[in-house]
Amino acid sequence: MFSSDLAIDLGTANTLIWARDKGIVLDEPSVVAIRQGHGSRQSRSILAVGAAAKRMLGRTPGNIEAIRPMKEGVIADFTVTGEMLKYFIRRVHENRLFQPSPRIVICVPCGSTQVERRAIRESAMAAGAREVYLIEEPMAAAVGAELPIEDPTGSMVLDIGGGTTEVGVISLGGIVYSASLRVAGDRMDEAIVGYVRRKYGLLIGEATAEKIKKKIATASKDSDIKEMEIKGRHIADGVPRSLMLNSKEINEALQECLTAIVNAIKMALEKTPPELGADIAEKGLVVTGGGALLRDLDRLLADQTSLPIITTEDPLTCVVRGCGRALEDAEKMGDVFLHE
Amino acid sequence: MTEEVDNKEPGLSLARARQEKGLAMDEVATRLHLSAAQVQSLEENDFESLPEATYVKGYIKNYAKLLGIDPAALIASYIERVNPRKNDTIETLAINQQKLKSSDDTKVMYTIIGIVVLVISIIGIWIGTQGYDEKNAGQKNTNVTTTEHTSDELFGPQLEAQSDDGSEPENIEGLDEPTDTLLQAAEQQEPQYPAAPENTDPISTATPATKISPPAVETNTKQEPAPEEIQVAKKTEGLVENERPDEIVLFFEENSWADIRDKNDKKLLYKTIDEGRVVTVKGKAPFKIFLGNANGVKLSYNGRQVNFDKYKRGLIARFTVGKR
Repeated sequence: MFSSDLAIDLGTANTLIWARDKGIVLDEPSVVAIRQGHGSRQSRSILAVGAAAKRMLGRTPGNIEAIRPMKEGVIADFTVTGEMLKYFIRRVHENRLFQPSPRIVICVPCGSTQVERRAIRESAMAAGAREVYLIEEPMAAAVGAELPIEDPTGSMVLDIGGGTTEVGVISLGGIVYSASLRVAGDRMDEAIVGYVRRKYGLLIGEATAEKIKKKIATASKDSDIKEMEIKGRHIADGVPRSLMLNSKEINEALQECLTAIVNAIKMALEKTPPELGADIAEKGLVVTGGGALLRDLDRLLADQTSLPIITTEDPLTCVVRGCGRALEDAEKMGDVFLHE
Repeated sequence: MTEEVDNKEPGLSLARARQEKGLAMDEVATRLHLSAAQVQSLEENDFESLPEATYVKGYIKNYAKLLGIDPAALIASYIERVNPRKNDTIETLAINQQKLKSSDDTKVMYTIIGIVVLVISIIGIWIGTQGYDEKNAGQKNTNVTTTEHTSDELFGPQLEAQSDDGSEPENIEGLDEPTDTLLQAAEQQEPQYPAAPENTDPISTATPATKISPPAVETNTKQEPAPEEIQVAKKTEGLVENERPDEIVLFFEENSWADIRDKNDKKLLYKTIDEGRVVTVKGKAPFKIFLGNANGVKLSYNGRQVNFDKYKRGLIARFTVGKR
């Protein structure tokens, strides 16, 4: 009555919240900036959450710490995640007279352990949820992409997020095969940082690496070449230097990650029962998540898997839309939630 | 150019663009990893034989990208064709959501303001009534105190001590009590009224009061009556100014306890009166009268003799005079 139901995509990179009858109401980076208190009390207080905190990443003085509380799709810092969730829920809750206590659908990586799932559930509870439903990410992505999940036909989803890459084969409202790979956007950033350091002896931060990835990175060797100037600290000199990078180099840097993702798809296809494999071969592979925005990823995947590759509209919000639809049409859709 | 997309025929636009590029359908099918039949269905707008909308949109997008044309218009025309009413793109949805949210916000705000105003007014009314009650109660209290005050003035400090039992004067102990208080009075060396003599007060003979009473019987009884009478008369006159007060005259042939109350239950007289005295009481009729030794008292009301023999029970008598 006083708080609407929420669907949350608690991602490693971004947290999105979908509210019933309203749609997506929040899209913020999963970053929390914490100020360490002075004196005897040593109290920790939250300085900023979301986009404001993300700008502080790697730019903080000693007493401030910018934390990404989610790592590889699961909770790395339980308390901070709870606080972040609480902040986000309060922000989307327009009725400020009452303490929000919504029902929450929250998605978890399919490869997460019982302990990790429990942590996510508990932190949502701590953030004021009345009830928490968990849904596996490939399922949420499939629902969000409006795939025919209840039909007796196979659908394959690839969700490349910030911390994990999830592959799932879905039929008759259930997951037939799923795999979670802890190689995704963050690992790509790290790969770029490592590549630039190895090749040019230049130290760059992860924020810069992310910028490079978004601007010029490509998945295919045959894509058009783009260039970008970056600045970093030279390891030997210790002074800042600028450098021109092109997309071919970045593609080289990302090779390892891309190969891992392609292999995961191949493994999934291998493990899928033949009838469903045939359905998938006919219809194609649906790609969602922020990773789907990597230039020419569809081209690489099509070449490697010989499947038609379908990138969903607005891949960043696909999972949260799926969570929302699952919440809205829970009766119609059958049992898509996780039970422990 | 191929940009001129036929609104209802996205497949035709694709086919035309493909022909312009000089590509064969098979070649396109291989490049898109689709079957030739699927490409043909796509070009012929035969969407029934193709999978769900999500996939078809993907195919159109990939096809358009391959041919180097803008996929957005094609996809829009596809959606138009398949599901005319479901024309909302994500952008328009988002705008709608914002509108919805803002209207919701104002609605919620007005509701809250309404509730707050209601609550404040309820609290205001409540406080108002409380204040009124308190004021009333205060007035009542002051009334009470003033009456008590006057009765104090009238009959001296011992009244309060007696008033508790005075409400049940039918009890024969009512006869004792004055002697008790008188005892106290005697002990305090404030001789005011003589104790009841032994012969007129048979019950009190059992009490030690009679033994101690002799020293309490002091001399100044003869001086008392006159000022007493005047006092009572004065006070009652003062209280009932606008009405002509009714008058009761009591002739005490023997010592007797007398308790006289007016219409408002105010004590006009409340003590033992000595024999041989005449007490005049003025106040509002009807008077409630209680006499401890009724045989020794005669009474007249507004100048007429009142016979209260039928109210006598043993020594005492309880009756009302001047009913209206």
